[in-house]
Amino acid sequence: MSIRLSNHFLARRLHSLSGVVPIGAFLLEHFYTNFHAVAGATAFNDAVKGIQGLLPGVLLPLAEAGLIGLPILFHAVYGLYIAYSGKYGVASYNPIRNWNYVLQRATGIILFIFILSHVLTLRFGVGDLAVAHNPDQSFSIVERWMSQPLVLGFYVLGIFSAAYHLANGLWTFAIVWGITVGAKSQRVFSYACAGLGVIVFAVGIGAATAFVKWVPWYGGN
Amino acid sequence: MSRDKIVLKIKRQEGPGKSAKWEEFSIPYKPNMNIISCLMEIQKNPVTTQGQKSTPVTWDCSCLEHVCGACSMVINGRGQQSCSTLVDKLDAGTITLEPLSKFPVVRDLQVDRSRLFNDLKKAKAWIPIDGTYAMGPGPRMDQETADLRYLLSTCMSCAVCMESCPQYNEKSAFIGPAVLNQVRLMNIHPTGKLNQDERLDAIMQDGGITDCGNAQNCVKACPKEIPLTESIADLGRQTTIRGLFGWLKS
Repeated sequence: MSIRLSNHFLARRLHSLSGVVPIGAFLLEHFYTNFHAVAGATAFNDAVKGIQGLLPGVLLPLAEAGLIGLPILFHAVYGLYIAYSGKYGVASYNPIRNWNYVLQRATGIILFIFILSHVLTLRFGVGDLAVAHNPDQSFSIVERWMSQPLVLGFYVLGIFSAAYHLANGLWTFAIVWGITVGAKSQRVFSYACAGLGVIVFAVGIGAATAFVKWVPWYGGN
Repeated sequence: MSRDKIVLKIKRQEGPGKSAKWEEFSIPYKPNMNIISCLMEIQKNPVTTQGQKSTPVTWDCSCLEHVCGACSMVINGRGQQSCSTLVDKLDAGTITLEPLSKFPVVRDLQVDRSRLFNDLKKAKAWIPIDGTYAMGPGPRMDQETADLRYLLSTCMSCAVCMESCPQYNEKSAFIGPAVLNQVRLMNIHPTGKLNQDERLDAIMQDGGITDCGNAQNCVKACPKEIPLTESIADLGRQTTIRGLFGWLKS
């Protein structure tokens, strides 16, 4: 018997997939690049330069928009709709999983705002220079932003949300696609995802704080 | 818990679409009462604790032995069967009774669960075996499948899983854990397998398998301890395979 895939099924599964590839994969790459700041301003600027030289001419912005921008936009907008369609405050039968359910949606909404402002400021240069277009000054641009306590606080929240959303999203991804079917495999995988979340959070915070003067691993002079 | 009288706070509603109000009743304590025997006691003399004459509280029930699922209601904030919820096992203090919140109220503690029935029909949760002639014995079932199917088949459509599910509400078309579990039950039956793709296609529509949010309340709320989340994940696998490769058959 032939099948007509419903748009609903397709959209939901694409939402689940896009969170892991390319968005999750990009997050890992992004944090890895940022972590160069711990090795110093030059290392960070070189890493930015390296990415800017990955593809020639208009191919890079096209790849950015198509492979990262669009998937994030789809994941974010469709995710907001999913968050809206839930009914919160049901009596807590399974407290841990219930909190994860609520937090996944809360961090999603935080990330929507955070990524929007993050991209507008650092990628497109609203309020200061754009990091991507000024690789030589990349470190000092970010340093200027991070020197504002409110901005730093906002980034800690954003990095936590991203690490959490990826780790918990990966856990539900495995259920959605039918990889972890049994209760035991789901439990074991939850430890693995939690571990990944902690590592991603540590790397992200380590990178962000490397731009802050009073931190021991400050990457500047 | 010992007590000399039982106080019940009940959410009353005269009919569909009418506004709800709370009423409190007090009845003499007797050992070994369940919620239904409390409601029957109120029927004898429906006067509130404030001394106001009221009407008998209505509710649904049938088997009275935790098998039919008809008597589900929200007892002390949790969806449960009123037949198997024993007063002696509840904390002392007022017992609150509310109708299931995910379905339209008919009156008092009675709700209209047509949505659940329609979703079972949508998911084709049956095995079509009727024909014009005898088709002989069906294929044999291995013991492992039989054991699992027995557990899955204990679902009584009581709707407690839907009550606990944040994804099951008036804003979404989600068919809920119980209906998905029925699809798994039918799909792993040797004869039911013959129509497995029809059921998978049905749950790959709006409100189907993809609308689960993995809050995993259902599996904790289920009074029959059915591994609902495993059923959902298993259908996740079946629909993944059907979604990825099914269209290549055409």
